[in-house]
Amino acid sequence: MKRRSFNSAVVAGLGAPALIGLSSPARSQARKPTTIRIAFSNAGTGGRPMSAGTYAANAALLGDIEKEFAADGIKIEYKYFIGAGPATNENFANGLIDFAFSHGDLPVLVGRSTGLKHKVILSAYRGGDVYLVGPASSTAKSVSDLKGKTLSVQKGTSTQLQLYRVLNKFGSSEPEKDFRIISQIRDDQRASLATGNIAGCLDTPFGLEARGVAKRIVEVFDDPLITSPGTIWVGEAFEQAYPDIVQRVVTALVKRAHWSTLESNRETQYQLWTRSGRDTYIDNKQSWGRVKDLRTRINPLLDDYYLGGLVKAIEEAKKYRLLRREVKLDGWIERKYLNHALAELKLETYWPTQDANGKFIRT
Amino acid sequence: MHSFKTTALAGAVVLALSGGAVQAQPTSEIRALKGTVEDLRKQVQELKKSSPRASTSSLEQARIDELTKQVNELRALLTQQQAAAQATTQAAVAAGGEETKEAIEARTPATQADITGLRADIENYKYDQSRLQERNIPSVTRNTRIGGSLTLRHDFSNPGAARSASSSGNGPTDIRQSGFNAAAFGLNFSGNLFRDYAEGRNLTYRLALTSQNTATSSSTTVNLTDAYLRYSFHPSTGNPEDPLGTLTLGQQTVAFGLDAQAIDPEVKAVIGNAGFVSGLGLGTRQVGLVVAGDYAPYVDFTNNYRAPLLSYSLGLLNGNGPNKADNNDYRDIAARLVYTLPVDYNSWFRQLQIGASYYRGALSLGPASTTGVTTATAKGSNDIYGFDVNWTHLPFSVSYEWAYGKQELYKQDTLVTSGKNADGYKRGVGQYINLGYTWGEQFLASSRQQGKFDDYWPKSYQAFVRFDTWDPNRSALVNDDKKVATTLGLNVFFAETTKLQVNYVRTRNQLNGAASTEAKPETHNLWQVQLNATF
Repeated sequence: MKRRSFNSAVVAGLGAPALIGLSSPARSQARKPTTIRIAFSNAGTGGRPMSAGTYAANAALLGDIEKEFAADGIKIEYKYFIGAGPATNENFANGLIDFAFSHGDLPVLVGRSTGLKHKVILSAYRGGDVYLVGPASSTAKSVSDLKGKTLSVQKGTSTQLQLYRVLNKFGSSEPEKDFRIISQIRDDQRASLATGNIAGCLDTPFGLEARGVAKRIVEVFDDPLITSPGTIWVGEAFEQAYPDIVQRVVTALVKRAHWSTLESNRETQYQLWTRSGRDTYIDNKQSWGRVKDLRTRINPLLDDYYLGGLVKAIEEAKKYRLLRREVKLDGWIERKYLNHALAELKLETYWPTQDANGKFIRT
Repeated sequence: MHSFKTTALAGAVVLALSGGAVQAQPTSEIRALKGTVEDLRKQVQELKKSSPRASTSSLEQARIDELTKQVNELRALLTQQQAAAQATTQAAVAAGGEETKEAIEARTPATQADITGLRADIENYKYDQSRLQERNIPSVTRNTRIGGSLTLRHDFSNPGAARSASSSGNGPTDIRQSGFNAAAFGLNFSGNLFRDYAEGRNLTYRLALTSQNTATSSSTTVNLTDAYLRYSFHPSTGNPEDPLGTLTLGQQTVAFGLDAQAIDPEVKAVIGNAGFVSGLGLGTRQVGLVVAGDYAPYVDFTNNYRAPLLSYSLGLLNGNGPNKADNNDYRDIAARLVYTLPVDYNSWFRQLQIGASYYRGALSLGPASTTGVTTATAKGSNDIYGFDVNWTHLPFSVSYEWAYGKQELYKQDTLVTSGKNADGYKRGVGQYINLGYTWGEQFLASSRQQGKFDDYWPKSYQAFVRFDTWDPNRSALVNDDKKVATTLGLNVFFAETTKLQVNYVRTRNQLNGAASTEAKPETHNLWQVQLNATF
């Protein structure tokens, strides 16, 4: 047996997977897809396939997209990622999703910086209060009391950037030096709070306090420079192949966004969101109870605040060395679907707009 | 003093309620007002009871009057708030359509009967749970996970297995071309003996058993495979940026290369191991102490991707195989170092790993019998070197591995005396390359960790081709022992590690001009279908 036979066999074999790859199932050339795959960068407690707290979550919970495409025979497949925004990136990088209905600023920016091709079509969420909580037995009263201790956050998510903003606001410009910051998913953070293994994390406190698990250390009420808008995007290839489908998805979402802002539906939403178990009913009621006008938080507009939020997040992510490459916003944000939906639903001036710093321009 | 406090409290409540905040949340404020009114009413009644009118001092009478006045004011405020709440609800309904069922429920108080009913439901649930726990759920002394696997296989080979003179086994006259293999099982227990909640420096254990069947016996032998204690000397809190480090004591697989570590059916992508694994004696577990871990993990959090710059393993082992004490006074050494490129998840170089392995073994040399060395007369060396490259960038995967063994021979061994291995060493070399393509989401962390209600597991299909050569004796005078095996395969993953494997293996034997025989044909074709179900 000559050595050459092994080498020639290797060369022949190298071609095999490539040939198999070429025959991988291409997307149907028909005008409509067979399935629309939609990602949520979160899941309910214990991995329940549910989202909460946004109008897109309402659309999923109430079956809006399914109803929209039922007559076309298009299947809707929701994916709820326990791995949050980073998992959405990984799944999209492998060509397994068409839309993301919730994606935070940090992962969506890093995803774009590494070459993921999508188009921003709606703002997913904005605003809200932020709480830094510690174990119920914690004696800490401020951020400075936590210095040198372990804080937990799911790294790579928008919550990481939000935590750094909170710490910066209270005097820590270099969080990774001032604290030991570890990465955990939300369920694990709550378990660590209960056992006292972490000194703090960002979480909605009311349910945890009622159970005697946690206490509030720092509260930040509706600061537009601490919170940052979320993103709804569509994959560029899907958008180019099926623009009419994208429009129908956007219109259905904007319709549900309007429904979600009506005061008469406030309580219904609290109860819908409680199903995921992510936040308790008391969390939803208390944290949203402070929102007098639901339009200020449930807002799909891609206004100056949305854009300013991305610009701010890029600067912050670079400062904290979470972003290694440049992110270009040119050609990323596609407003035509939103504008068409607003015109069709006669909602052009319904939502308040904010400037880049979050100050309301139109109320 | 008590009365003063009460009055001050009541006054504060009145002042607070008369502020702007009252207008904001009428429904909840009405509840608060009702509660306050009720409290004040009780206080007034108690004061009246404890201080009969005849003996009431003017000061106490003044306090009672003040409280009565506050009660009346609060009642009036309550009436106003109820009207305001009604108006707010009507406005909300007018603005947003019909009032929802949920909104109506939100302002409907629960009765004592509702609460009693809920309490009863919770008590029933607690009883159910404790009864289930006591009667139907097996318990363990320590934290334990039980797992296992069942392996079923059918083979077809051409030419078939050689004739046997024995009346048992293959049969005396027939060439066995096909048949079902005896079912094999694995059973394992693992768990935590000490859980370090703060740092994750846990002490864990694993005990695994596997069945071993033969063609000649109808009984099944159960062998111990893994049996070890493992201590994490680095924190293992799940933070991917922390390096990992463990110390493992007991019987375990040897960290050499890639294929030698895949000796259990549940982790094997190819049914048969590469030729050098058994040829160099690497396909067995060893007893000893191994330190393993990684250094400087590179983490791309935006894709949940972790790539330790260096992974290491260093072990002191008996070298005499599993379930046996050592047979000499020398410890074998197994060392492995793997370098992973520190790149982002989206890089084409993701999960490109380059590894090097070294095994220094000690042999007992002596006259050989059919079952092994009979009387050891000297110590010999058995050194094995390995190099491997692995690149898994879904859907593509490429693994290449090379291993070289240099084994000292007994001076009177026929290989030495015949001059075939005149220097007293037998050198074997093997290498393989495996090229794979995968469809499906089984190996994507994001897909595996999706929130689902059902027993969801993404199905995956993996096609591969492997070219494998093994030359047990590279001596220029030994030209009839090399094997080249080409394997085409398809793995269908149904669930976590549960898979159907179909392999076609074509093996060519080096004959060096000798005639092809039943025992050693020039080419041998083998089709294998194996189901490996893990629970």
